[in-house]
Amino acid sequence: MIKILNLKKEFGENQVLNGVTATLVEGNVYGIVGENGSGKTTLFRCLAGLENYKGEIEYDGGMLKNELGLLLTEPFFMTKITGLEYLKFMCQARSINSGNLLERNVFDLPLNRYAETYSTGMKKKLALTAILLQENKVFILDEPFNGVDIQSNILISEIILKLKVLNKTIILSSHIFSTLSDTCDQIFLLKKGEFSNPILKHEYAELEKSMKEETVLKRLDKLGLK
Amino acid sequence: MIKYYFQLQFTRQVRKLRDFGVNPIFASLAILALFVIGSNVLMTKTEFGGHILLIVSMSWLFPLTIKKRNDFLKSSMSLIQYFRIRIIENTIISIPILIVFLVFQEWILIITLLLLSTIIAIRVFSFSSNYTFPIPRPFSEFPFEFSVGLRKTYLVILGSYVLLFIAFKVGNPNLGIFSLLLLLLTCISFYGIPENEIYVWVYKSNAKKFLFHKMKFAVFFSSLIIAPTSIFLLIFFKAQALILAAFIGLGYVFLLVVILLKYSTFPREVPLPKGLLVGFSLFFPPLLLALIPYFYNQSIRSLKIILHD
Repeated sequence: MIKILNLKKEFGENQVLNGVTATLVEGNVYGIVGENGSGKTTLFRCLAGLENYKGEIEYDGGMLKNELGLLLTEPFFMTKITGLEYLKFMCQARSINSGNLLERNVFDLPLNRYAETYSTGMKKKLALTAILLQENKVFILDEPFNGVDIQSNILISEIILKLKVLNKTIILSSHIFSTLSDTCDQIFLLKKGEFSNPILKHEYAELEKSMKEETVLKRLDKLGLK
Repeated sequence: MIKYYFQLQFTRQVRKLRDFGVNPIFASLAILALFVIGSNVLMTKTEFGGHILLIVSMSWLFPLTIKKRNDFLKSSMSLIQYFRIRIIENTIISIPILIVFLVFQEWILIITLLLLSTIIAIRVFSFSSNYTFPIPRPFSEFPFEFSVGLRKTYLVILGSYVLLFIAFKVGNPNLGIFSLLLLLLTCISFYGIPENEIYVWVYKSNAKKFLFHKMKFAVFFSSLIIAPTSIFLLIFFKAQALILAAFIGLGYVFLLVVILLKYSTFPREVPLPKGLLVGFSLFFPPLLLALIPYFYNQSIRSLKIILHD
């Protein structure tokens, strides 16, 4: 279980997270929804311990960092490293015996090519493969569906559901509502640096409708497109 | 448009220097002074100084041919503007070395440099790293510093073997030792720039173990790289064995210092004053006795934060 208590993060005068509180239980998929710049990635970086923050993050399964698979929106790849070498590095860093990685190449990536030459979607799939091979207990997936082809999107959704069955904790953000409604048990709306109350599956349709009315239509009006 | 582009480039360079922790005016003057002294030494004290400067100018011009950069420029302006910009920037970059050639009346080199810089500007080709075929490396996948480093510097390594061969042919042990130092410096350079923090964060290790793991692998793989040259030198220049051992020992020490230096400010880049301290210790090695524990403690502190130790 991960407990986030009154998490605050600011960059200069910009208060990005302003008291995020939530309890995340194993075997559940949590969706984080928010506008661009609302602080989703900052929240993920805080959870991963990549940012200093105020408040508390408690994890009862040991050291969260060592059990966490982190997929960032734009995964970073060193130049001159092949996909295969990247996967091996990621496994070895966690002392995982990776076995025959070519057989575990779930997205059929060209692993003998330099990772830097991959397309955006391929990079995302490579980074996702790496954190899956690491056998993590908690997964943070920042926009895992973004830039990825349809087949892989379906596969990623299935992988998330399978991880849930395996009692893993998955936290993901997405700007595609259907992917969230297909996979998530609860959704948190991140607005003005705070979480909304958890939104449950049967409330998703209402959430989508209210978001559409509150934000989209108002903005279309600004362009005279209503 | 073109004027604004160059204003932006100027602003970028100023910002880079500021971010590096130095005053841009001071840094520009220091670089100019170093260039004047260095090029003068090369042109007056060495036989092939002009050719070396020509290679140096190419090393300045090639990074501008990176495909992504050129694709961006081409997509954001007309082709005529693009070619104008490329020719102007190549000329600006070539000017310092062109002046040196002018002073020393190296007319053939002047024409060669002008021709090359224009060809590089007009010809749409790239010396970037976007090759899909990976350059093979002699070791296993670990550590990444060596996989990346060897692929980036394989020409330098091949160059060092050429120097070694020349040293053998002309019976010049100093040149042989220089080729070894070049290899050692290349290995040290693999640890010069901090990796993305995720590549440290991902380790399931504590700060101390992580640091020793890095140092152990650095020494081991560097030894593998310098072994052929060292053995060759020991066989053919036995009289220089002591000097050779001293240089290798010092090389290892600096390798470890650079690793400690990198992680002492991790994940930020090493600030210039710290780098200068290490540079100064080259001339005054006892300084290392103070620097090593200092950088070690700082490294442990930085790594503890990233590794949650």
